[in-house]
Amino acid sequence: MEEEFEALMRRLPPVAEIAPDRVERLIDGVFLRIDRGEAARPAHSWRDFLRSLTGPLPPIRFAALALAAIILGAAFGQEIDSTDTTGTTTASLFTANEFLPIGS
Amino acid sequence: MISDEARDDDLMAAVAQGDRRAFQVLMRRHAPTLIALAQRVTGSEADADEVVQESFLKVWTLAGRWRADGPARLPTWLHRVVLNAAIDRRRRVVPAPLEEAGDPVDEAPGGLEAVMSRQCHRAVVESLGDLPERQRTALSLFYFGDLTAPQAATQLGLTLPAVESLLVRGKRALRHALTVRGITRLGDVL
Repeated sequence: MEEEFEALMRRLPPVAEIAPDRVERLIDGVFLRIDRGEAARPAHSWRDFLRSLTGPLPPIRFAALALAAIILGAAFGQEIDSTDTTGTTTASLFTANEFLPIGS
Repeated sequence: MISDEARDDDLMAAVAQGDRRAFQVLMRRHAPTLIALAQRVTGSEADADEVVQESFLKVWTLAGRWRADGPARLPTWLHRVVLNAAIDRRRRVVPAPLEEAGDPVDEAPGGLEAVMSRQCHRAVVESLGDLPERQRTALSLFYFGDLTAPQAATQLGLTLPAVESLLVRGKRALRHALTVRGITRLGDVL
């Protein structure tokens, strides 16, 4: 039985040496399919993103990030100001704390 | 700049960044072995090429998740991906009923032997697909990859006794899977 089994496994179709031009055609096909959008680009992790900040052109990237932060900060600050015009924001914060006497 | 001699892990790191040159080096290095494996399992050149292309597309997509310090070595992982894809593809091929096959075109001596060989091939591949992943990979490296047990142990990152144990259990399970398919004597397919 053991010898028969070995013979069975070894009798599976043999593979001739793989021709180099077949390999090249296959590789071309892979790149073609990538260009057609059949495979999503490798996903970048946060670590990759942080690493990219120290890569080429970091001043430009830092400047872009700083500008984005300023814009976001300005928009956020504007919103706080608009809710604070009546003074209710501050008042509600204090009244929500039962250990802090109102009006103290 | 990536060289042809770069390590697999370095190539994968570059591929994760979208480096096509690194991907090309990686494919040239591993494609012949993987095509041979896929062709043995699928029994078809066209199917083998398709399976390997799809596997490489998976590598391109998942390269960012590859961990050089992980438990698997790249050749083993590639072997496993291609093997599973090839088995899936082989299983999707539905053989035509015998009565619809018509007269054999090739009447040369050995025609019957070829038919029996194909039946044997199909039964083994399907049975292989039923095995647990580790046993399937070990058997495949040993028989289809033409590796010795010590070589398979190195590739799998296991000790030689562990691989020998996997091979023994795998052969036993494969024989059982063949029996389930009605093949009680190996002579039935030889």
